[in-house]
Amino acid sequence: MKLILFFLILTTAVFSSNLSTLYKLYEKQEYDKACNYAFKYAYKKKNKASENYLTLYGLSCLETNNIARVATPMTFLTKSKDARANASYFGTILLQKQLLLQALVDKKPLGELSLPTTNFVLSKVFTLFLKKRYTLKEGIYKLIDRDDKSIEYRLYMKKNKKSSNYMILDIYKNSKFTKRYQYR
Amino acid sequence: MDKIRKLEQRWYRYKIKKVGSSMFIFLLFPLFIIGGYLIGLNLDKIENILFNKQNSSSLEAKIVAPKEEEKNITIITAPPLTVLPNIEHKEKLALEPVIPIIEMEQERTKSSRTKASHRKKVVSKTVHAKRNSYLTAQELKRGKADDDISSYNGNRRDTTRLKKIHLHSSSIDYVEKMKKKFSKSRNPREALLLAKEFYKQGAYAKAENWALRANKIDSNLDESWIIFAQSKAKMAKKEEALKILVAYYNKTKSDKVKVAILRIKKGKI
Repeated sequence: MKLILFFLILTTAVFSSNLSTLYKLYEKQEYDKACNYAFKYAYKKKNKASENYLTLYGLSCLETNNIARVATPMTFLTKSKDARANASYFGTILLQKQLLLQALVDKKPLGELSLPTTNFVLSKVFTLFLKKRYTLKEGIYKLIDRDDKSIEYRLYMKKNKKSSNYMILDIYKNSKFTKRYQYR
Repeated sequence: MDKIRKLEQRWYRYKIKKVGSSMFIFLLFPLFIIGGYLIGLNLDKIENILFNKQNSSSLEAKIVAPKEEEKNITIITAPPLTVLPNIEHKEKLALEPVIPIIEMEQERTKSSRTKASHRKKVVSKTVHAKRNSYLTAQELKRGKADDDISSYNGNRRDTTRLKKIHLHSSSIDYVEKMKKKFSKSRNPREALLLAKEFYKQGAYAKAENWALRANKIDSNLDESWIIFAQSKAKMAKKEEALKILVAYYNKTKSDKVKVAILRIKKGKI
């Protein structure tokens, strides 16, 4: 039985292409695995030319802590209309993350910026932060989601052992911790 | 003599006036042409300037008006009218990702094809081993006989081709999962994936239904229109399918739709 199972897994691995594997991982919402997988096989010419592959690469890395990886597929997504839309989506989120980081670390005032909005968590936090809809307590910015009041975001900086700064974004639902994003 | 001088001076003045006026008219004419051309080029800017001036003057009037009233009613405060025109210009741009839909079957066949061609190349590069000379004639005979028996029984393995193994264990789960996902998100993508899945299974009525749902949410999805028409064609409603697709093609001029129309016309679907 074990042998058959092993054989089945092996054959599926042999038959499936990088894109289909990536798609499966993305569908299963295994974003970390998908991001690492996409990053590993992005060097291939075929994958570099595939807009579907690059889009899934970007979308899966967006959901992980390795958000900076989004920059690679973003630069290649130029050919079709959808690809360009995705590229600007990635670019906006990346810029918003960088600006948030600058605001938190260097206390750089963001003023009255008007960037595009997206449905992504970081983007939501950015717009709330920009409109100063937060309460600051002991270096933690607490922001409440506009659409769903039960969701609370906590944004703060943390230093690791090597004393490099990390931007932490914790998501709470009904005051229960649900997810953490950790950005460099 | 004085009279002559005076006359000469008058004559000079008269000449200067005459030449000057003709020169002035001569210069004014191209000036009008160039000026008109420049105004034509910057008409938008001029309009904007004039329009803004009018706006600002009207706003000033609006701001001033309550000030006059303040004498009588002190509580009323003027709203920040100066901000209003800026808000009109600041239209928020909302971005959304376009998640690709990937045909898993196609991907699988593509990858198997590429792998097969790659294998052939590898085989041609390999150096064949020498024949085994340690076997006796009898042993070789027995081997051949065994081979013959197995081939007779139909047990001989075809090692030149990789056998395809189709796994359908997760298809039911997949449909259920996608249905749940759709009920949560109301995303046309999920509806389209379901339509595709039902189409593959041969449940064309269901496929049509799900494609229609996807169309209702997003009417610009080429693939959902194609699946919708294809499932109609499969259910012997070819003319209706063509009508729908042609109408959609006239609207979008999509190449995918064109291909689908041709395929339905030729009866390939």
